[in-house]
Amino acid sequence: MLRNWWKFLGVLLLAYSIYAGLATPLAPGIISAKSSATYTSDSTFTVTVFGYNTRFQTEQSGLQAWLMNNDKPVCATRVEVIDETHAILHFPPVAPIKDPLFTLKMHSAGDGLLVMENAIWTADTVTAGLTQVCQPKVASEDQNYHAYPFRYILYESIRNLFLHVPMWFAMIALLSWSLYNNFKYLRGFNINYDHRAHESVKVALVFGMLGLITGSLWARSTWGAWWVDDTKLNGTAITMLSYLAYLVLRNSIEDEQKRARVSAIYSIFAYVMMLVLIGLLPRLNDSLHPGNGGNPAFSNYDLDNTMRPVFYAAVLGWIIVGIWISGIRYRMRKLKEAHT
Amino acid sequence: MKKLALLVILLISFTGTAFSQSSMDEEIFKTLRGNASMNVVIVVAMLILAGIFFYLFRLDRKLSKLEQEVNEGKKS
Repeated sequence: MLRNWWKFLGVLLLAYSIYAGLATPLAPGIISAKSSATYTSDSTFTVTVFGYNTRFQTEQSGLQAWLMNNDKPVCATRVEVIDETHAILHFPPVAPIKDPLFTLKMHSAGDGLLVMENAIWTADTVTAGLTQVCQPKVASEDQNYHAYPFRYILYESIRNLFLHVPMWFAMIALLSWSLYNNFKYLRGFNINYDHRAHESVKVALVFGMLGLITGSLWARSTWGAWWVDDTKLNGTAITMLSYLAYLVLRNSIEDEQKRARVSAIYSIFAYVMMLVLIGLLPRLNDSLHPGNGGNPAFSNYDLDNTMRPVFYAAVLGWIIVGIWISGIRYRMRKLKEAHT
Repeated sequence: MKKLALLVILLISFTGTAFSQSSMDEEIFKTLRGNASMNVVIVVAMLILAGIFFYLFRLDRKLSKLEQEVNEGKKS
């Protein structure tokens, strides 16, 4: 029992991450905003707003709305609340100063600040000044509730951070474990270390496959395609192929010690390739992945502190499960060799 | 509970069952369903669990075969 404490830890961490990952609500936000007018400078116009997890009705008394252009706010003259997630905003005639796009902001004490970047487009030429500049009274921009950040396009699928990303962390951890065992083999030529390395590569590839499939699904719903020409995607595909080649290479050598030596050396190169392809190149090139090619990672988002413990628990939990499975495979292999 | 209800409704509407909604709800449903926001999380979670369990079952079968071999080896 006590010897297996880390297995229990892994199960607990995974249980926590799945529960917290699904049970925590998403922060309120604006899903869509539709303007009634093509030309916003001619006459008054309305903007129909659809919110998600918002409480327009409950917060009706303190609900403010304004449009931003070139950092200048224009307040709604009236906020007409239909229900919790539906409101009609009445605006005075507004001409754009900088670009023909307005950012919509709403604020209430309970929901905090809701922002929709470039929500409204206008056909007006960008020349005239703003007609009415106001000063929205926002006491605090803090959102005082426990929720995951509302991200445009991502929405609820932000929870995939706890499912898709840990697969890759588990794969990289297992490949690192394999590399460590390869080094240990090369120090004393003890064949057991070679077996450990081999088994953990096999499990790493399972996690890699799961990462690819789940990533593909997520890409379909947020980027619009099952596979996009992204540095990170192609890099991981090459990494997986090079480790598949490792398995093929092993099968092609008969002598046990020779096979162990050749594959240990090969896997060192494959590991370095993986670091370059997954870790380095996506940061130098443009990539759709957060944290790469100038894209902000999730850690840059303000409400990320609610996600961080859940994410780390999921990563650690899956790494433990991966090491556990590779240990079982190794023990099975020992047993088989002892009896044949 | 409200979340769960929304989820069920989303899943049902995703399968194309006729579902009476007011026009304003429709907008939200369309956006979330169009991006399959919550569905994609569920499908991803199910896929990972299915993948891991499939792998474990295969491992289990391998182990059973191995046990059989070991037991037969003992007898002879």
